[in-house]
Amino acid sequence: MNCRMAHDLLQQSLDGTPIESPEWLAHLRHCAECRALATAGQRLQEGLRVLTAPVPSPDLAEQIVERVRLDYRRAQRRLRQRWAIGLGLAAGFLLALAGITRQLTLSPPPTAMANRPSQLPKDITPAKRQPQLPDSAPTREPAAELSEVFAELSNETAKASEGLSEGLEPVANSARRAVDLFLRELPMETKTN
Amino acid sequence: MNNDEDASLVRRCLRGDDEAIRQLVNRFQAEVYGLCVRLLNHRHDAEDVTQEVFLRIFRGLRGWDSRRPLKPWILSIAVNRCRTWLSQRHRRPEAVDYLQDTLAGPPADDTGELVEEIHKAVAELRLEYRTAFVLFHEQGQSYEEIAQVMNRPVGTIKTWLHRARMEILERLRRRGMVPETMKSEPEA
Ligand SMILES: [Zn+2]
Repeated sequence: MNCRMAHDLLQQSLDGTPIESPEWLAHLRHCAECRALATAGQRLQEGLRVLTAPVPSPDLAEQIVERVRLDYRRAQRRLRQRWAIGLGLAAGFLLALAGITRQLTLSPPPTAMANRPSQLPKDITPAKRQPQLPDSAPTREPAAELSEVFAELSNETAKASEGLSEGLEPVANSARRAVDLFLRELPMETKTN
Repeated sequence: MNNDEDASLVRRCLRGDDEAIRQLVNRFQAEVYGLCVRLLNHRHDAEDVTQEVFLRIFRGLRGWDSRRPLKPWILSIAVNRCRTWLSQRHRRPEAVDYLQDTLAGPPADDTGELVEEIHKAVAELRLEYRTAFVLFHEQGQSYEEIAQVMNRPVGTIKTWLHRARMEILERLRRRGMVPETMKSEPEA
């Protein structure tokens, strides 16, 4: 047996495997270096047997449990806040969508309004004026017409949004109450920060 | 406790069950703390790091693979946390207070001195060797479990542990903890 093999057996014995090898013992008898290492190995095992694990202070477990609980509560709060923000955004989006839909259903299409005879200027008969006017003139009259159409449109939009906000008032109130509730749940540090 | 019981305990912890949280802390705090003391060589730091380790354990419980044993997973978090702590500690003076360990029985001979020398030797090992040594000899982990904890192949762990032991044995010899043995017999 050589020193390398003797070292391997020493490691095995330190692993906890009992070594019963006459070759190893024979090597130890004539190799001072391996014998000293083996003796040191025995001493290491002696020391490890009497070694006791470090003992934490008695209140460490309680401190840990408290910190973990606090951490859990913070995580839950953060989760609720994210839900509140998500719900708020979704509600806002739905309100906006409802407003747009309502506008579109209440207002007649602009092309139909533009063709209504009552909207046309009464003193103008296209057949009479057309030949006398220069090239730029016809654009001015439809422009005036358009501005009236827009005025009417914005009037109707205002009425529609009034009706919409009246109809959605209970929804808006409950959303506000929900947000208030969540704001009350906010942790102190987010309030002070 | 087997894996099924561990999995059940973890599920209860994830539901926020206070009793389960306490049970898990009580079950592992001594091991986590013991490992931290040996790796950091500092009891006060070890308490701080143990608290951080448990916060990380509970934050990461969902990530534990319930088919694997819980203890190596927990110890791996402790090892990583200690490594980070040590890498950030280089500017602070290192308070060596690892000599406070008590002996299992009253020291009859030089056992106290022997234990002290072993502690010093362990403290002087490089971190990988120290971790492998402490996990094997103090935490009772097998080579395979240490490989999981340290995320290295079993062969690497063997090499580290064997080198750790040899360094400790050499120190014990240098410090006179090994009685001079009889003269060598001539080779047959
Ligand atoms: Zn030899």
